[in-house]
Amino acid sequence: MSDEYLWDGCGTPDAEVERLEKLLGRFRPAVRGFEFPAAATSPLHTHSRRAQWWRVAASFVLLLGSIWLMRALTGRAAWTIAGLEGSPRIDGRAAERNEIWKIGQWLETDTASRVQLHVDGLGEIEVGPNARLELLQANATQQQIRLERGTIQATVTAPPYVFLVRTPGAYAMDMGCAYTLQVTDAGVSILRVTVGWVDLQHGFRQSLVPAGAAAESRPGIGPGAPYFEDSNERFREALETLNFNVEDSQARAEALTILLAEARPRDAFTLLNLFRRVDAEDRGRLYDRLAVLLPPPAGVTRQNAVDGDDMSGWWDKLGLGHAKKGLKGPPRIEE
Amino acid sequence: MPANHSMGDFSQDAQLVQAARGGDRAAFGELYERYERMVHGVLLAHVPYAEVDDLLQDVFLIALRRLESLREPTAFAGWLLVIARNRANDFHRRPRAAEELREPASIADRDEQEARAALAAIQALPEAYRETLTLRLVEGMSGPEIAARTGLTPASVRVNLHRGMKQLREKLGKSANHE
Repeated sequence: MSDEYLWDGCGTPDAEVERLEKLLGRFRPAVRGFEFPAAATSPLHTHSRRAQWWRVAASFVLLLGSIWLMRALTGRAAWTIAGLEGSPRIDGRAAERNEIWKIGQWLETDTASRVQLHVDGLGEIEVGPNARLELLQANATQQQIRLERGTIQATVTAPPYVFLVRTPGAYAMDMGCAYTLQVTDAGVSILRVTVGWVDLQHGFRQSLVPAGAAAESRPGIGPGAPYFEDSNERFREALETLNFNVEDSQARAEALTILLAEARPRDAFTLLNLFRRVDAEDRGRLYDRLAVLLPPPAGVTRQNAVDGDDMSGWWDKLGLGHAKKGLKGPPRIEE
Repeated sequence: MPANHSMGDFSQDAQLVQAARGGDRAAFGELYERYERMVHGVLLAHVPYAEVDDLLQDVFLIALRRLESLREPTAFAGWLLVIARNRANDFHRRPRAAEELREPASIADRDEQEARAALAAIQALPEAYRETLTLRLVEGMSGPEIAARTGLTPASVRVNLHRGMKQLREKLGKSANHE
């Protein structure tokens, strides 16, 4: 059955889709338009001074309570500066060995500085030169930092999804691993995983990156499909177009031709990741090349690929294993 | 509507975010109009229908108050999605009186019954399919529009719609056979 009607409402209507649209349309929002708070004089100043004082007082009490509760329930999960070179700074002043890096503080290194951070029960982070990062959250169940620029090397022993790094292009969620994460001045991030898996997410986009692989993320777009860094340069350039040039269909078609021609058996991993990022015709082309590189498992046909069906049987054949799943699943992301 | 224009949309978002930060209510109102259906659909994929309108207002109120903290104005859509999903998760963590969770005792209207059953079947699908199908079938957004608003590639949206619809047909078929 054609999915054209399901896709954009054009073509021959699919009776079941049409019926569901009519039935479910009743759940659409009843009232349109945002109700600005009554006292608002500007969108960002929405409270009276008195109300703000109450909010500040209440927040202070809540903060004290939260600190007490966090310490009582989870113990301390402090980020300690275990080692440093050069003159790294915290909030503009010189950082010191054994100093605790606190929530809300910015840690910066210049061209000649490095910092080693240690957290009991989490692992080690090495911060390279020219980096700028902020600590957003630090407790036994959630550790979160913002990496604005520069490179960090993380060796994480905490359970999956406890440690999260926020970059301009994606959230990097540790799943029990070691990796390097670099953010350029343009906000592009490059993740290289050396042990285990990392889950990259932004909006609806997700890439699971295993040891030996890398993935790039861009602001406003999110993570691209991961790849092995020993793939050839033409393959990686073509992949970059497919990942991030979402507007030029001609360039994407040409890039796919190059990518398929240059793909080695090991690159089947990248090709499988692309199934969710290309259209039906290109999924057929991906299938044809993949079937040569890594014969499909029983029951997975070209039509399955074109239809966008589940390819998990093929994933199992890659022999990469599976990411560890945390008991608590992906964390609540800091907004 | 062209299929691929998400980057253009995101740069328009950035302009609206900057204007809203400067106190321009109309700019924030436009952001609301652009993303109301997306946020409504994502919430509806996770929480009971009766709760969605309040949570929708909450999500935009939070966005309004925290707009200054958004470091990448082009990332407004992704950031708003995070707020919406967090509010939906908070809803499930919040202790509630038992009656709040109960479905209405009896619904006389057969269409209403069917609609609720279909919505419940969508809410039981995997997250990616659930959200995309809600945006398509409830909010009436087309596949290209979903791609433009969410930052997903059109190909991903198409796959989610196809797989989600396939699973939904199976679920609805099974429940019809049991009646």
